[in-house]
Amino acid sequence: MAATNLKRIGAYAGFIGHVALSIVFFSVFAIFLGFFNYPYLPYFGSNIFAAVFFAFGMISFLGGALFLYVTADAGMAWNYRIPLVGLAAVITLSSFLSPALQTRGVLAVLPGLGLVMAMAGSYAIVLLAPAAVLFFHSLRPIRRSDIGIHVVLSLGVSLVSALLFLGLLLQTGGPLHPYPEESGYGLWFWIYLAVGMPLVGAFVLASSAKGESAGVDAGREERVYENP
Amino acid sequence: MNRKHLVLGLVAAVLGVVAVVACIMAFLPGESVSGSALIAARFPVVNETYPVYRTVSRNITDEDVQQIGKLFNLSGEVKDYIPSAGIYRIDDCSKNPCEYVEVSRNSGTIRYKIPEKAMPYSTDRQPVLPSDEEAIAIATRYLQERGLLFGTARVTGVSTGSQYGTHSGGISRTFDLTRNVRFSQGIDGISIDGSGTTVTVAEYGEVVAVSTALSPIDPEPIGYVKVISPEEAYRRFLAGDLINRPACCYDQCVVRDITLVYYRENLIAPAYAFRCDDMTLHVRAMDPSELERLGATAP
Repeated sequence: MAATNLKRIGAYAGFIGHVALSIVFFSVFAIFLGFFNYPYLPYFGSNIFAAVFFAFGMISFLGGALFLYVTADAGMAWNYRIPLVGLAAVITLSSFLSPALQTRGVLAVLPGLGLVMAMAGSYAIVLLAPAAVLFFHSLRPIRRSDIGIHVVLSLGVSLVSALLFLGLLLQTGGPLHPYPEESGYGLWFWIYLAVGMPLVGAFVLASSAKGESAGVDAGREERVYENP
Repeated sequence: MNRKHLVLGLVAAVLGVVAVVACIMAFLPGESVSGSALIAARFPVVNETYPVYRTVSRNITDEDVQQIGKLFNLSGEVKDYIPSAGIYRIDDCSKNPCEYVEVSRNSGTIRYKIPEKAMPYSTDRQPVLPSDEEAIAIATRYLQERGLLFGTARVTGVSTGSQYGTHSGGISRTFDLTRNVRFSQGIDGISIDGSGTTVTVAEYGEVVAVSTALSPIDPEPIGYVKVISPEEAYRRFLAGDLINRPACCYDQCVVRDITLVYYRENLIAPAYAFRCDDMTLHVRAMDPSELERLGATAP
């Protein structure tokens, strides 16, 4: 009885962690809210991007860490969950440290450090979609004969990620988060941010409800993570 | 390593970094210059005060305008083109295509142009434009020959002028039609932004437009003003308190260089120049009360 309760608590914790992990994919909606309200936030100032990615990244990272912790007994598939959680950690740290590195003392010694940190965050955001595909593979092995629509669409979004990754590598200057009208990179970045990421995030969220992460209802306590 | 320990370690590391940095920033109030524009440049070391200069106003007569027209081989009647702005103009359509020169009696600025060649026009081939070095040499010689290259003026950059784009069969092509060579003056080793000289060079090195200011700078300053710190200037930059605010999109730029310059308006006063990759934005380096103290008003 106690073991069943513990398993149920663990399943709920895994479910909550899984849901929280998807939050970072929906950052764009908070960014839009920020654009409409122009808030001036403590520490982040007017930097809406950094504030939102820090808050949402932190929730995703802690949720992902909880999910990893609860599912630590899974087989090799567990390893495929690490990139997504790791990217959430990079996004969190990048968005938090970039403003901290914009101080006179740091700028006097290493003026490019804040930019490098912000670039790391940009790379991490772009890599979220392919990392989500690995995450889906960890829940249910992707096989050529049986590919779900969520995997197909996430792979499609990952193609946009690849283009953006290339754009970031080739980008020698310009705004870090350009607006759509500023450049081709800006247009694709916003398509990825406003359409691609929420789409993949919805699939991550949906996969938690399917019981693939944890059997949360009474009839499915025994269901555990499928391993490839 | 045990997986659970690995996860706990990762969480501890991330939260630890956040906590340590948050504590450091809490003990350094006002140190952070965080904003949506990212700085990848050192803040400049500046003096406490800087002199403010003015231009020597000239009374430009019709004869002066005629003389200026002759500099560009233009002849014709001097027209009171925009009376409210004090702009006079000579149109010369004896040439093909037409050319004109405009002179502002108030600011002493001159604008010479061959519109048909300086403005974008349709084409299906890339015009033969000079290289950057050739464009600089052509523009420098052109100004020297006309006595328009003033004292400390130096080349500050060459950029693409007008362009024409085509799109057919799914293929987009852009043709560069002109090159702009920019010159600016300096005072005490500090460059003057705002209204320098621009020479537009077109196909085969033909000069098709010149924009410059005639009024010399009075070397005697009208007084000294106390300048704000670079950090305060950056805060004003983020707040949009700019001399010339672009239509959009500057708040996401990466600031690659911050320098104290002079900005030429009705006065030549210190300003901070924030140079992003494709634009330079200016913030006045003094409070309006400083100019009022000198008996001048901010524009």
